[in-house]
Amino acid sequence: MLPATRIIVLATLAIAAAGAGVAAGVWLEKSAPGAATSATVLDAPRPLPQFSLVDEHGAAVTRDELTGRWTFLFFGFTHCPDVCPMTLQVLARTLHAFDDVPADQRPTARFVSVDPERDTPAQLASYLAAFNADIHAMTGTPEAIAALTRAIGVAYERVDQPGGGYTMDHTAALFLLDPEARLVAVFTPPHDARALVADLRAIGKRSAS
Amino acid sequence: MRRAFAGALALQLLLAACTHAEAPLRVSDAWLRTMPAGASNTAAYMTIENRSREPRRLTAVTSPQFARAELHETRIEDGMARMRSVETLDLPPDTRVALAPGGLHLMLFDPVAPLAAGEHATLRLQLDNGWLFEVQAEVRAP
Repeated sequence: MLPATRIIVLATLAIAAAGAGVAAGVWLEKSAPGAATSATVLDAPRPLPQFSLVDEHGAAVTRDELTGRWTFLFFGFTHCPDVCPMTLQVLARTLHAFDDVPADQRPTARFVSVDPERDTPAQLASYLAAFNADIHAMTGTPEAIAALTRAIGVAYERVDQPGGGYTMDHTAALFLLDPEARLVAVFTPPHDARALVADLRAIGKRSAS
Repeated sequence: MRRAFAGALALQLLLAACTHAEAPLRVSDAWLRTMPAGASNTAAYMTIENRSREPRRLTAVTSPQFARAELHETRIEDGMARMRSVETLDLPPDTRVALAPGGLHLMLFDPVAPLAAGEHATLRLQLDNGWLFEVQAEVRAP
C-alpha cells in the first residue's frame, strides 16, 4: 500500500543544472583560482514562486522574507539522525566563515522540512538550536511544501521502517538563492564547508560585477 | 535466545580479561550525536577493527540507554539521501570498518533519559559467534 503522504517529484532542476555545469565551472575557476568547486550554477537565475510557510517560531515566511541576503536552502527532516545534522553542521561552518560581514549582509540558511507531519515549528526550533548558527526553518502544510519543492526540483518520499515509524528519502543537494530570492546554484553532495564558502564568494563576486 | 545472551555475557567477561593487544575486536572513536530536545533518535559512529583471522559479522546492537538500536546506512542515490536498515555488517579479518556520518551508522531510538554532550552511552555489539562487545561512546555536539 502506498503511504498516505507519498510524494515523488522529479528532480528536473538537477538535470537542467547538470547541463549548465560545464559552463559554470569555467568562470568559477577564473574568479576563484584553485578553489574546489562544488556548485552547478544555473545559466539564468530562476525566481522562486510565491509561497506561504512558517518559520520555527510559527511566524509567516513568504518569498519576501528570503530577499536581501544570500540564502542556502536544505530540505530535510528532524527525525533524520545522520545526513541532516551532518549537512546542517557543514552549513553552520559555512555561515561562520562570514561572521566578519555586517549582520544584515551575511549569508543565511533555511532548513525546509519535507516532513511537516512531525516537524512542527517547536520541533524545528529545538532541533536547530543545537547548531548554533543563523539557520532558520520553514515548514507548513503538505501542499505548500509540495508546491515549493516541485518548483525547485526537490524530491522526497516517505518510507515506512520495518521496526516501526518512518523515514524520509529526500534530495541531498543544497540550493543557493541570491538576495532577490532567485535560485542561482545547486550544490550536490558530499558537501564541504570550504568549497561552499569559496563558491559562494565566487558567485557573489560575479553577481556584484 | 535468553540462554545465548547469558552465554555471550559470560564470554564477554572472559574477553574483558584478555589484554588489549589480544582483543579480537578493537573499536575506536565511538561517539554519538547529542539529541536536540524532542528528537526521538540519533546516530552513533565508530571504527570497528576485526583483529582475528576469522571473518566475523555484527548481527545486533543494543544499548541500555535506548529502547532500540539498529544498524543503518545512508546512501546518496540519484541525488537522494536514503537511509535503510542493514541486517548485518561484515567484519572481514584484519580489516577496519568505519561507521561514519553519511554512511554506515548505528541508529539509536527513544533514549531512556536525555544525554548531554560529554556523557557516555553504552553500546553492545553482538557478533555472529556469540561474542558481545561493550563500547562506551561519547556524546558529542552535532
